[in-house]
This record gives sequence, structure tokens and C-alpha cells, in this order.
Amino acid sequence: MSSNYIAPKNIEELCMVLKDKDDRTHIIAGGTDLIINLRKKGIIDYKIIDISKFQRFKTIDFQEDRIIIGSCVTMIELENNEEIKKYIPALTSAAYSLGSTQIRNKATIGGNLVNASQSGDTIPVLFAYDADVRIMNSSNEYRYEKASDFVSGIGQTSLRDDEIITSIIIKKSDSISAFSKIGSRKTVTISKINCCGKFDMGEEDRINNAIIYLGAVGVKPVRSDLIENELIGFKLGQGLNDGMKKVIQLQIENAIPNRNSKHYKKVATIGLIEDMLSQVRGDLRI
Amino acid sequence: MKELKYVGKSLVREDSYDKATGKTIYVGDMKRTDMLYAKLVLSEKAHADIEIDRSEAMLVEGIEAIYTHEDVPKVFYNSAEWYPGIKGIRDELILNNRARFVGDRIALVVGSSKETVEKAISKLKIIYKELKPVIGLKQARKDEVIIKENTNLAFSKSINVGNYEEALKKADYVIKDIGTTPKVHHAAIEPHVCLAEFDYQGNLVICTPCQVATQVQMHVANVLNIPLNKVRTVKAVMGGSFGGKSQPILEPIVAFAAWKLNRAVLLYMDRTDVITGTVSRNATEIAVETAVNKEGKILGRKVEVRVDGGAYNTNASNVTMALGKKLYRLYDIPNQTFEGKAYYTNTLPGGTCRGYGSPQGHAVTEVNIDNIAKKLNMDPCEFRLLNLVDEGAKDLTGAPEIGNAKIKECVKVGMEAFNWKEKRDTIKNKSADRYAYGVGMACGTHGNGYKGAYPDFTNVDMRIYADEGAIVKIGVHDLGCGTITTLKQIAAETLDINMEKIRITEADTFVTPYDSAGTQASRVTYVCGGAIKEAGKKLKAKLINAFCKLKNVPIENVETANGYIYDKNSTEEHTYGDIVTEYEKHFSESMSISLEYKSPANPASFAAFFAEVKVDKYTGLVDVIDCLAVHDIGRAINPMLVEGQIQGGAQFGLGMALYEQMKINKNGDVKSNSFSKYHIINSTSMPKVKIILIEDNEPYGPYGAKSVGEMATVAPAPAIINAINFALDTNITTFPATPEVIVNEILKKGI
Repeated sequence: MSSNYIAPKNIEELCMVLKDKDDRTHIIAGGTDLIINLRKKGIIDYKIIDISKFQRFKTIDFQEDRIIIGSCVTMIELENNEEIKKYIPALTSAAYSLGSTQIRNKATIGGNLVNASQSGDTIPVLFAYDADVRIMNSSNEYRYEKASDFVSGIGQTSLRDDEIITSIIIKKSDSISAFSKIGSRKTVTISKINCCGKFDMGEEDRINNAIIYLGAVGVKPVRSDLIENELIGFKLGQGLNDGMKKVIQLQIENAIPNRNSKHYKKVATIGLIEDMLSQVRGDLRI
Repeated sequence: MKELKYVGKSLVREDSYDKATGKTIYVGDMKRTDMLYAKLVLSEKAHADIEIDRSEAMLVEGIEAIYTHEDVPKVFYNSAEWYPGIKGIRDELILNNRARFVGDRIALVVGSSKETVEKAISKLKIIYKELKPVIGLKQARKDEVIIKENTNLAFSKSINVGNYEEALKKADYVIKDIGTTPKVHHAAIEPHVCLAEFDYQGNLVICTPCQVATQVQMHVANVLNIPLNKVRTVKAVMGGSFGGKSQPILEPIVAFAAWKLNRAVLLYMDRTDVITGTVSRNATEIAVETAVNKEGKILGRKVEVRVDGGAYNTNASNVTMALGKKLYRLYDIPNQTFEGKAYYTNTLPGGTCRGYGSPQGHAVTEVNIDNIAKKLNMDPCEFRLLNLVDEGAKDLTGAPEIGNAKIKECVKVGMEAFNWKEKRDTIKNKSADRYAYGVGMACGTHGNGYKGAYPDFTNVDMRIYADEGAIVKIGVHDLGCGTITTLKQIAAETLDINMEKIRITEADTFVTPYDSAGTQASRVTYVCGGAIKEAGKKLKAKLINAFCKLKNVPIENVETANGYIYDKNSTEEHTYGDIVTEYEKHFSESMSISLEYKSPANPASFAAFFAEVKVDKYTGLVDVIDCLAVHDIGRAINPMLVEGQIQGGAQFGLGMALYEQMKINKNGDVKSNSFSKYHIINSTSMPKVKIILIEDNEPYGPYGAKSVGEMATVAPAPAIINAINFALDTNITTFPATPEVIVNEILKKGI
């Protein structure tokens, strides 16, 4: 099916093929979700636009006040990048815990976002960091949208037919962060629930400000204000007390009151938050 | 005893290098001139009448044929039958117009390429007239919706030894447990695949990674109504089976297509097809009650088993009885009743799967054994030691003798090596807020072939050539276990010829001698290995005899070494080849032998498995920190291959304990239809299994060997569950103990 495969060499070519893009044309970056979905749906007649050859979509640019991550940067590249680890530790951790090594070699951050799976591992991190998505259309025009607005539902985003994501922009900060997930087994597993916490630290290892997003308990990651409030003033060296455990359970109850899985998730999320905090302790050597 | 040169050595499998470097040709790699590709269309509904409009699909360029129910012979068969003497209930067709499970075969599309075939499949218009499905044993028992004729009950039988009711009266305690085991996917890395073509001799050749070539031959001949001797099954290189490729699934269909089209046809499946459209381990519900006295002796036991047989009869009776019979061969129980029932459901049919009933039977009964020990306030190992069978034990059901049973030794040696007592006493001290630690163990038993239940013999032809090389023709199937290497070691030892000079066939029904039951039932090393040893012994005697006659040497003066034969009082050396040539020249006879070897016995193999676990009380995830398998194996022909079997068997067993299950919803949809949703124990979760072999000679096995491959997958699962229950003080009897099951138990207990 080589004639159905196009790898534009420059932006002009890319704009041209985006202009002609129809229902059966798909953008491929890593392909780790796309190919499986096409196979699952039994779709045989399709066209592929491969954007993974664009060097400018594959770079991570550290500017003075922000970090620009190309949409085709892979999980392995994120995981191994020391600067990412320094500025966005949760992203390192999320990238590292996604799929298998083979998948991480191919899977991209742009793809993870556009696929908009309920269980997407980098998505809660992008939400917690209030990341902006840079989007280009077939007329070579750009628009920006908050990642949390860009994802609208399970598998749904605001991306229009002739658009692609070119990069994701995250503001630099002094915040510390961590990511944790729980699947059916420890590794190479899809998140049943995942979590990103982003914290501003105060005196004596106390949390001054917390942003917590929980994934896979809604159509997209949900901001978890109850847990956030409870964590303010929390001394990181401590374990979770009963009051906190109750709040975590209430947060899950509120998120998925009618789902059978809530009974498990209410308990498991205590472990999830504990794992996430323990990662922060590790990073801060507490 | 003479020191052995080959047996007992960890020799590298001859197929390792080609497999590791990707040179090996599997069926999926095969190409033939004008070969066609074929793919099955599997039902998406669990119970429905099917109409298919193929008109648009037929227009796809390169499509040769699309077959549905109306095109195929209406010959019913039971794919689990492996020789003509078994008359099972025959209810399968190669293609169906009523689907009885999600994954049932409803059409076959044949075309010039995989793309063509898949394009045509996407253009088929399939109309499902849905019927109410029967999912799970509870619904099957109600008989409200009936899948077959009068009832969903597919099979029912009991086994009685002694008098359980009397035992109950004498009991100080009766301990009852009810548990379930899941449908398990075999997860061989090679999906099912099969090639059919005509050869230059006019045979319809089925080239297939199978376990029983004669079984394939029988079903193909039957369905197509052609003579058995015109169907040639060639066992191909296999990328794993674990029982999944034991009964023919693709073979009759691809044979039909090749026969109709007179072209080579390759039928392939993808992972989802294999998970939903082949067979699985049978799910069970098991209720066990055990009567004991306060001294810790089991007086009697009653085990009621309900087996989910799936949509077709297949192995409903065999697996139920295989499960039941094993329960009489582990503990000395004077009064025991087994009641087995199998039911039809609108789910994947049951099929052979490594361990065949043993993993299910021992799963729940071994948890029950731990519960008895707990009730009696005894150490579970000590309690087992009071009740396990002794050497020379008889099977009270009248089945073949249990033999040189070393299970008590397995337990004792394991306790010592695992530091059981101390760990059991102290491990809980490690437990803290979030994590609970525990140790547990379990025992299991399995057989060595079919003797006592079905015909168990094999024919073997063995010949030494003029160049000292030997060929052994036998109808075995290497399933990836290193069977050929193992058998070569036996042949080399018996003949005293270097292993490199020996070649052994795999099954080819046009060429290899008859074998009664194929590579299943843990019979190959024991029975086929025994046959090779017997043939080798006779052939070597013939060679020595020829040497004596040719050279006029008294037999007591003859010695052999590495393919040389000589008179110990002479310096003259002769190769085996010299004698073969001279013997042919002077006596007009070849240096060969053919024999039919009947299995002399069917003893039990045993194992004890010890495990340490760490349970996350929040997430319900379990780490297996340490484990030890102690196997009563008689003798290891190749210890490295034995270790491979035990490591792999444990991986399968741990999967059954923690993750593996076919998730089927109330409509019959298979939720776990890919490896992203069907989790097996992966490398990061798999601990290294420590292994101890008890090698105390099985008197009827070749060089003292008995089985290990299936045995290895029996005890690990209950050992893990027992360890979890010890850690949490719970009574989990549900396999697998998924995170949800564990957290639910914790919530119930309010820990």
C-alpha cells in the first residue's frame, strides 16, 4: 500500500496533503495506537500521512521561561532527557511507565494526547502543568489551546480534520511533581487509574500548593480539589493519615459514583497517592 | 552402574541457534507457488443464526473463494477425539450457520494475499439473528435457554471410593470450601497457522504445528470423506502450544479449501482470533469438603466439580474425569467421592491445556488443605506429611499404581531449602501498614501417559547406517520443549553412538510409524522415550550379535564405545558402520529394528511448590518475591530442559493465580481479546524459580525418568493463593486473585 503512504518533506508539502486529507486519511507519528485501532476496526483502505520524519517536531527546546516539546518526541526520548527530569519530573515518570520499551521507542507525546485515551499516561501531567498545545492547519496557520481544553472526551479532541499538533509548551517553574499509575500488573499495563501531582514546597518540606489530576476516573483527567486542599500544609515526611485516606476515597466517590469499579479504586487510589508522594520524597531526598 | 554419557547431561537443544537467530522456518513463513491465503470469519455474537451476503466481497480482486456453512460437508465431528476408538459426542462442523460463541467459525475467505483476504472480509455483510446466550455455569444449570437438544448438561459422572458418609460420622472437623478457576488462554507466541497442499504422490498434505498428527489425519479424512492413507499430516516447527494446538481447529478447514481449489492454501490467525476462536482451559466451580480427625488424618473427602465445557462437546467428559482421577493420587484418602458435571455455555469451547484438569482440581483442594491445617492449628506442611501418599501407594479407584512416589520427600526437602518453618513463623513481622507478607505452599500430581484409560503404545523404527549414523523413526512432536534432544540423549546412551550421529523424526503420517496418542498427556519422554530405549537395546544386541558372528568372538568379550565395537582381547577396532556393511554383505540383513512398545505403567509425578509473596493492601497487586519448586521426576534426562519446563510451568501457574482469565461479559463478548487486556506474568513480574529435583528412579521409565512438563504448572497457583491467604488471613478461593479480588477480601474483613 505504498501509494497510500505520504511522508511530506517540508511544511508546504505537509500543508498540501493536509488540505486534501479526507475521512480515510490518518496522521501517523509513532503509530502505536493508530495501527492497532485500524486493525481492530478492520479498516483496510486508508491513507497515512507520516509526520514523524520532521526534525522540528522531534526536538525539545528549553527556552528561558518555557519548554517546547515537539509533538513527535518519543516516550524514550522524554524518559532519558535530564532536563525534562529536572523541570517536569512527572513527565519523565509518566513516559517511563507507559507500555513496553518497544512501545516507548515509537510512541509520541503528541500521539498520546491526540489519542485522548481515558488511560493516557502523559495527559494528567500536561493538565497539571497547564500545558499549551500548538496546532497548525493546512494553511500554515497556528492556534494555541490549553491541553485540558484540547481533550474533550474519550478519544475526542478539538483537532480539526486539516490540523496537526506541532508542539506542546510548558512553562518552566520551581514546582516539583510526580506521576504514578495502577494497572492490572506492575509493568506493561494500561492504567486503571493514574495520577499527577504538582507541588510548590514551603518550609520544613511542607506542601504550600498542590495540583492533583487523577486519570481514568472520568472521560479525561479530573482536577482533584479535595485531595489538593487536604495536602496543603502536609509534611512530606509523614504517611497518609486516616483523614487523608477518607478524602481520597471521597474524591473517587465523587468522580465515579455509579461505576462498579469505584469500590476497588477507592482503596487503590490511596496506594496511588502514596506512590506519587513517595516519588516526590525520593526526588527531594526526604 | 555404568556411568552415563548422555543421560543426565544439560546438553543444548539442536534447534536453539536457528530459533535464536531467526533462521527457523515456521508455517507462517512458508511460501508455495500460487499459494493462497485464507482467514476465518469469526462470529461477533455469542448465540445467533447467521446469514452472510458475500456478493460484494467476492468482487474484491484476487479473491478465489468465500465459503460458508452451505459450501462445506455436513459431517459432524468432535475435534477432541484422537483415535477412531473414541466415540465422543460429535457436534462440530467446519463452518456454522448458527454461532454458538463469540469466535465461532462462520466463513472462510481465500485469496491471493493477506490484504486481499482482509479487504474481502471487511466487505462481507453478516446478519446476526440473535438468540439469548448462556454465559457461565450458573446460567447453564438453569436450563432456561438450551444450547443443544434437551439440556445444557454435557456430561455427568462420579467416582466413589470407600464411604464418605461414614467418614463424616467419625470426623472431628469438616472443612468446606468453594472456589472457581478461570478459562485460560494458552498464550503460545505463535498464533495458530496451517498449510494444506497436494504433494507429487497425490497426498493431501497438512503441514501444521500440531501435537497429534494422526488426530489431524483422522479428522481431515473423515470430514472430506477421503482415505486415511491419502491424508498426510506433517508436524511443522512449532512456536509453542501448551495444549492449544492439540485438537485440530484449522486443519480440517484448510484441508477442505486446498482440496476444493487444488491449490496450496495457508490459513492464518491473529492473536484475537486465537484468543476467541480456538479453545481454552476449562473454567470450573469446585466445592470441596474434607472430613478430618483431630490427630490430623484425612478420613474422607467429597469434591463436586462443575466444568464450563463451552459451546461444543469437545473434551467435556475427558477433562472432567481427568480432573477427578488426579484427586485420588496425591493424598491417602480412604473415603472419597467425586462428582463431575460439565455444561454447555455460549463461550469458547474447552480444550486441552497444560496440566489438563490437574491445575483446576488441585487449585481449590490445595487451598482447602491449608484451611484444614489452620483449623487444626497445624503447620500446612506437617499436615500434608501426615496425609500424602507413600512410595508404592495404590490408586484406590483401580487406576494404574502410583509408583515410586516421592512427594513426602519433596515436601521435606523443600521445607529445609526454603527455610519454611522460620519463614512461616517470622514473615508476618515484616508486614507493615501497606504491605503484607506471607509464605505458602502446595502440592500437586500428574500422570505419565494414558495407560489405564486409553491405548498407550508407540511404534519405532531404528536403523544404523554404514556411516555409523543412526536414524530413529517415531511419530513424536517437539512442542518446543526440546523433545528431540531428550530422545536423542536416550538413543545415544542406549546405542553408545555420539548424539551428533543420531537423527530422530517428528510425526509425518506418510513416513513415520504409528503412535497411539500423540504428544500429549505427559507421555513422550516416558512412553516414546521408553520405546526408543527398548529399540536401542534390541538394535545394539543385534549389532553385537552380528559382530560375534562375523568375527567369531564370544559375546562376553565384546565391548562398545562411541560407535566402535571391539573384542576386548584384540587391538583391532571396528566402527558400527563396518559391521553394518559386512553384516549386510554376508548375511543379507540390515542393521535395523522395528517394534511396538506398550507403556508398561502410568505412575504419578509429583511436585511441591513454595512461595513468598508481598501483597499491596491498597492496590491489591502481589509480588512473588521468592519461590522454590521441588519435583519428583525419577530422573532428569536433560536437567537444563527440565529446568526450562519448571520455570515455564511456574510462569503459567503464577498467571493462573494472579492475572490470567478470559473475561467474558453477560452477552458473551470476550473483553480480554488481546495481550493488552489478557495479562500474563511478564518478565519483570516473574521471579526466578529455585529448583530441586528428587531423582530416585522411576522403575518403568527410560533411565528412570518420568514426566515434568505438565506437572510443573499444577502446584504454583495454589501455593501463591495459600501465601496470600496467610499474609492477609483471608480465605481467597477465586482464581485468579486479581487486585480487585484481593481488595474486596480486604474490605470484607475490614483490615
